[in-house]
Amino acid sequence: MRDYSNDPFFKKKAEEAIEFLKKHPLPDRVKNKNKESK
Amino acid sequence: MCKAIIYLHFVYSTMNIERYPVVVLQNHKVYEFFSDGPAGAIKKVVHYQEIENGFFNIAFGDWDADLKKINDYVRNNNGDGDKIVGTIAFTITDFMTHHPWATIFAKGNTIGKTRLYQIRINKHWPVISRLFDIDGFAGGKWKSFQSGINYSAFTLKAKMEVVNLNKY
Repeated sequence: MRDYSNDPFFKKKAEEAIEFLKKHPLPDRVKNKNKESK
Repeated sequence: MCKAIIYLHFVYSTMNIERYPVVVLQNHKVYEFFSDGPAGAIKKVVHYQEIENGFFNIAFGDWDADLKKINDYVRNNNGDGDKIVGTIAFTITDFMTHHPWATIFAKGNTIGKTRLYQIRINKHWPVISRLFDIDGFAGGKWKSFQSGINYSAFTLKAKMEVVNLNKY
């Protein structure tokens, strides 16, 4: 089974997503459900 | 099988969306399928990457067998864009049934791709809106999804009613 987690493209996409969400944080109503779930 | 899984798959099946069969890998976080058309069989990979606790970025690209890596920028001209999007939609449904508390973040790497996601959300909005809460990023703000607004990114999470089906 191939492991894609170290693929350069996928790593770049994850970094871009993290950067975007740092710049544009999600509102609490989106975040809250995840906090409740854990 | 939990009720949320049955319900989400049932609703997806009623949408009559054409799709390719998928191979499910890594605890329903990676999906592989083949686009089939004039350009041949092209392997596609959809990857749900956990970038924060419970937050997953959806990334999607073509597998380049020569370079042994994913390439997102290839245009294969297989003429099956709708079927590919339908397959990605299926992976979202399947992923959410197995990770019902997750929030998915989606951003196309081109304006065209992001626009394509939006068109598909609009097309199936009556069904999607029963299952998922979707937010879009536009004008410097996150807002609940509305038709007719151009968003540059999206988040998607299962509605509490769907998640809570598992309690009954």
